[in-house]
Amino acid sequence: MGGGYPYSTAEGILAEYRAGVLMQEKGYAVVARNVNYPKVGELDLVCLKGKLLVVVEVKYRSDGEAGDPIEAVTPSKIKKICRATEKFIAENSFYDYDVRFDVISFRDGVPEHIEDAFYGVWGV
Amino acid sequence: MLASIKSYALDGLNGYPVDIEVDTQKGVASFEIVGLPSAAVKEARNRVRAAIKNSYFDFTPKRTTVNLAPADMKKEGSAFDFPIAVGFLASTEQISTDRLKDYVMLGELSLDGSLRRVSGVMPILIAALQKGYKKFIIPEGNAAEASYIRGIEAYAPANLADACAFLGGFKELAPVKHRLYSSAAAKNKYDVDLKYVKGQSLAKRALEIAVSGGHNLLMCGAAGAGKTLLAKCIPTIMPDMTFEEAIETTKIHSVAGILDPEEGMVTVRPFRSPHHTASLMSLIGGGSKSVCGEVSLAHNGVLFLDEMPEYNKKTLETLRQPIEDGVVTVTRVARSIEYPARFMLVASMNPCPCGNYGSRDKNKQCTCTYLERKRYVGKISGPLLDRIDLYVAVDGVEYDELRSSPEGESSADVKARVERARAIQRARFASENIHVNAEMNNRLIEKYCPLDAASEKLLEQAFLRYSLSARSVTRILKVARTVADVDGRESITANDLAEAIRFKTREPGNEID
Repeated sequence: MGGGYPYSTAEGILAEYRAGVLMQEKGYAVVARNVNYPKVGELDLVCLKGKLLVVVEVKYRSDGEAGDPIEAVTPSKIKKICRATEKFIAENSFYDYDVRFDVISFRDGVPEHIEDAFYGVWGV
Repeated sequence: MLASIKSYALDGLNGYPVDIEVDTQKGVASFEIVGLPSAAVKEARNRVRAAIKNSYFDFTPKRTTVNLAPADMKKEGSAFDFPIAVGFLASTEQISTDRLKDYVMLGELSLDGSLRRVSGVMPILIAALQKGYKKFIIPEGNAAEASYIRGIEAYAPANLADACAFLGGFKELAPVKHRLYSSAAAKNKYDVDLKYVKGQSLAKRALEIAVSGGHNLLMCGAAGAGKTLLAKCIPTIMPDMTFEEAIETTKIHSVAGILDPEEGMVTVRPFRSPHHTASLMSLIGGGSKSVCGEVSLAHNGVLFLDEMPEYNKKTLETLRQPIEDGVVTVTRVARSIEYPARFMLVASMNPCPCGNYGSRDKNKQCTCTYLERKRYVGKISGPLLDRIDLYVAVDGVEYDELRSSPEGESSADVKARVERARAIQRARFASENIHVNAEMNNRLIEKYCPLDAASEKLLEQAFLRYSLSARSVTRILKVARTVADVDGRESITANDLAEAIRFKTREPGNEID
């Protein structure tokens, strides 16, 4: 990724849009997209269902590339997401909510939703 | 919400209660364990998460803090997994909290939610019972240990789900059945027997005396003479353990994690034979956790040192204090723990480096120089030799003797005599808090080893002739007492004393000068 941040391709933007649709179909309300806190981190999708706040990380891999997209969610990435989430909760007063972290990965254009993909600051 | 679970931890052989407080809050999930957890305790969170999920409970991420109080004691081991998991379920209101405070919980969790055996349950149960805790939930694998303790109500569920169903009142579990200790449980599981040891009548006599009175024994003889075989026979003639002795030894073995899960109790006297490369700490105990060593594992049993001069000299010297005191205090910066170490020392050695010195065989004559022999024997220091009550030379047997058909006395016969001698000692020391003659202190020697005039004269002569030390004299008196007990005599005769002196004064190196 280097210094440019965030840098998205057209496919990436489309994937994030499709992920939002998928979450809505599953009964979640999308409350925020692409929340970006410079030098802290970025949240692709923030959804809500009852008293549960779900932070979704969208991972897109164009075909031909090796490896599971979920592998791209590294410990350092998790740390960033957690910090960003804490900031998001503080700014929007979501204090009284359980927080869950999901990953929606696209492989060959097929979405896969992994609930509770990682456990907060504890890591994978 | 907050939940508090009672558990227990060990500091050496003494247990202390640990309150496990689990607090869950909303927010970005985390799982912190505080209260000086060691690495194994910290890893509990991974096992707890997997076990809860695989037991079909809800593990919605929470901001979780687990506190192990008292927070200033270092917590070791994996026995907190189960109480932490129960605490989490209680604080997230998945199980009712009504019955939680009644129980002390222990257990390691497997990832599939089943409860695994942990070490040190026996001393924990005993310590907790003394503090007034009576109800326990322990892993199924530890049920055997708990079954011997009277007055407790222990439940041994197979897994987390069962335990929670029990705590919630949805399922009844039968408490672990109380078992009575019986020394008959110590079935004869040895593949050696004294009757297969040909000849060696003197050595056998020495073994019998040593085992009867718990005296230390050094066997000295040429290579292949049968020292190790004789030593291996010792467990077969050792008297059965009394319940108190068995509990003492089981506590140590439980902490060390070498207890047989089926048996649940050490019913056979331990026979520990560390290799001569054994390190100092493995023998005495130590390390950052102040774990117990071989001397403590041999408590109420035998510590056998084969090829004694081959041991590191420093290692051997450290044995001096436990031999004398019967306890070893392992002190490290963090903590200091006293382990019992009342063992019978049995050692074997060659008389010289080539192993043939003193052999009857003309073709196997010693090729060592005087100095070599001297140096070899000198590896065992005088103070250590002084603490050994019986020296016996084990010489090779003749061909006729070796191939002779009539078998000697069997171990069972000798054991019967040893049992009788021990019974006499038990009756004698009923009010003295010791078990065997070897443990007598000076006051008791004064009281129980009176000598007649002839014996007194003999002892005086021996004292002058062999330049005996004060300790040697007390040791001779103790052995003489045992000889009289073995032969069933009320008082010590001059013959008993002579035998004791004979065994005491034939130390290796003595014949060289």
